[in-house]
Amino acid sequence: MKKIILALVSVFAIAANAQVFNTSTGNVNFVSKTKFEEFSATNSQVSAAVSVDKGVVQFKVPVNSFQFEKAVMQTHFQENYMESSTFPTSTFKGKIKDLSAVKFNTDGVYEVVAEGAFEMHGITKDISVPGKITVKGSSLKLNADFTILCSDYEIKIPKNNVSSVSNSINISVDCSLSPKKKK
Amino acid sequence: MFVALFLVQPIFAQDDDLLGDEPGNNEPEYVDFAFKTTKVVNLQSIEMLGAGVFDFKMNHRFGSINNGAVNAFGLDLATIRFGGEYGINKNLMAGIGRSNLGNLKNVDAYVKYRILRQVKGNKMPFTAMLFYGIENKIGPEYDQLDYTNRLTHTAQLIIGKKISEGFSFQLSPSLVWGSYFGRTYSNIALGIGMRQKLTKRTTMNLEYIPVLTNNEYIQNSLSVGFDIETGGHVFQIHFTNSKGLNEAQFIANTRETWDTYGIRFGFNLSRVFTIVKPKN
Repeated sequence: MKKIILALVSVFAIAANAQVFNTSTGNVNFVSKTKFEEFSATNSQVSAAVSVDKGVVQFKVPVNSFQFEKAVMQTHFQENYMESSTFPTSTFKGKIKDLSAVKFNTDGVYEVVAEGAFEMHGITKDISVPGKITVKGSSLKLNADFTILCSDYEIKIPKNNVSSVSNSINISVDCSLSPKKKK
Repeated sequence: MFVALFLVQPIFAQDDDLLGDEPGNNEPEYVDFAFKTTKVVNLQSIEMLGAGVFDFKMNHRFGSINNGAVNAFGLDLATIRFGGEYGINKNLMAGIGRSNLGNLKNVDAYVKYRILRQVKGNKMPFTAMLFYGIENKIGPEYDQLDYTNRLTHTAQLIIGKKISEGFSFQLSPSLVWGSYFGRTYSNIALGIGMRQKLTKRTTMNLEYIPVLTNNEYIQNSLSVGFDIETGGHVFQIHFTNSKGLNEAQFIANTRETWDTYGIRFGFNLSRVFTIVKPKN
């Protein structure tokens, strides 16, 4: 009997495992805006995944994949600000707070809040990010806009660059996910 | 029943890490920024310009300190090179410049091509480049010479490694050859360059170029300098016994020595401009 239950539960676990949506080509971009200068960077190599059963949301952002308008900005971003040879990825791992409100089998736009740990530049902080989940057919879209402070993550802006690099950075997330393929 | 659920728990726990087996970014993790700019002091470094980036270079060397107080210890005298280089693609760049050396005027041009690029975790342990430069002497005293007798060529293999976040090292075996009044000449030298980061935006650089072929006139070039990075500029200040500002000159035509105070103060100014924006 025990074996049968174990087998049944295992099957259920595998089925639950199948209810994962993911991508490795998600988009994240950010904007830095001061009175004097505005610049942005985009990254289209973001890995993201959502599990339907538990509402786990995960992002992995390769820092060196951010593309800037000017090569020298990318150099400074990687070497001087993000120190990407030491901290090559930024990650978010959290949960959707109001999971029951999201009907993954019904088309629609659902306003949600994701809460979890955001790691960047070697510093991990708990953040809460409002976002949108768009269900359309068998695909999911995740959108979020939020602001972080460089100073929270020990990313130092030298005094003579304060006028061109903002301490508060606006991040926007735009990822289209599809059901994870079974192996 | 409870036991069964308990046993299943770890499966769920593992399931929480949704990206654990994701293949990440396919690009190899290149080790970049071994030097702040494309020059160590005089030598080309293992850095490349980004594709579509133009770097305006102004190199300035004062006269040597042993010119004495009457010449303000060399500050009255100067050799200057104005030039620029451009990143054609991520592995190829080319440059051009004009410099003086007393009455001698030079025009030089070069290409630098990256054949190997260091990858993290010793998957590719070093960066390697090929360099070819050509110098044309254009001063009045060279007017009588035909073209082939005014050219000097430099070929270089540059092998370097960013050994730690702060320390980088490179070797530049070099061959300098040409002909002059019908006589051909060639010299072999081994350029050695290194840098140590002092802060995130400043480094200390050391450069030594021993000439391996027998030549009683050529002295080995030795330079000590600092790189200071500010925004789009890199400012390099240094002390060196080399006066000339292209490869043919500083490798195979350095005439002064440190022990006779034949050293001079100098600086390189580098300012980058993005000409072609990278496509996303």
